[in-house]
Amino acid sequence: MGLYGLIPSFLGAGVEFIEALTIIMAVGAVRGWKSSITGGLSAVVVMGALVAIIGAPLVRVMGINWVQLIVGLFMLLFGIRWLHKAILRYSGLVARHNESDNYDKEMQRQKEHGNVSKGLDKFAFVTSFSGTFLEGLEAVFIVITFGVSTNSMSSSIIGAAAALAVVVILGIVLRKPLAKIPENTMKYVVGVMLTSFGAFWIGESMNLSWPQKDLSILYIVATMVAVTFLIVWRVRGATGRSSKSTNQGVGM
Amino acid sequence: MRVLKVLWGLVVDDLWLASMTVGVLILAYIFSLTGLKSIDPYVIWVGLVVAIWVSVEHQLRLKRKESRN
Repeated sequence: MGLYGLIPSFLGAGVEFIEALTIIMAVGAVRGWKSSITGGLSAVVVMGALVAIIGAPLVRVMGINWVQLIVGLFMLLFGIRWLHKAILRYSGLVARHNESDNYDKEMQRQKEHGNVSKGLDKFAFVTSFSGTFLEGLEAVFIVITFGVSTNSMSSSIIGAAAALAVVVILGIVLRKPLAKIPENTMKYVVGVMLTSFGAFWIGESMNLSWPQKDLSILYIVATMVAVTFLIVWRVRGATGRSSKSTNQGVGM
Repeated sequence: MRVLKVLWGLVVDDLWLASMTVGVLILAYIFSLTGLKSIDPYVIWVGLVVAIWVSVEHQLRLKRKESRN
């Protein structure tokens, strides 16, 4: 079982499914569960098809330099974006993601739309479908890139499927948005891994000789974590924020 | 068009950060063409750290400007 594919897929897909769950719950609470859940499930089916259509052939050609370059570039740009955002949130420069607020806003939006149609409510279906699909697109991206780069698409898919199952079960049991999950930390971990793997694959495509080959990925990971602590400490010092005034974060 | 916009949004959020990241990779590639292959990995390694640091500093500067106004 490829843990390098499974863990980031689980975390990355999990975060996106939590955000999708918030939308589905808000829509369901106002406009009916049938339309909301149907929209969400339809989006999940489409995402599964995308992984199968794009991911499977890509694994077979990963040995080719330009494929490594493109996959690596996408991983790196996507990963460094998540990493950057997570650092800004830890530093307090950007507000933390709040699922409860998003839930309330979406509920309000649904109420303002007007009467609920009998049977399948079109607005509810479209909102759930598009919300789940847009959030899930990032999950698809993570599943495919990690699956391809670790040559373990099945582990990557299993990770995402496990995340979906966990989020659905928690949603059914708790019946409210999953506001207490440390989303920023999950995004940070995935961001670091994507950045490290992406940089490594780009280097491979350029035929660079990484010091100690695959171990370089761990060196990049360690560097990113160290730099995160330094940046957060520097920004909090500059803005006069104490570590107690911010919530969440692992040791930050 | 909307699909392209969504795909673009997946990889580019902060244009500065994305530009610097791509710049680092281009620099590493140039070094690799000049035969200095031993320093290329370090160019990428250090370059990514610099890209993140500079873009966070930029956000900090913007935040300070906002609070002054």
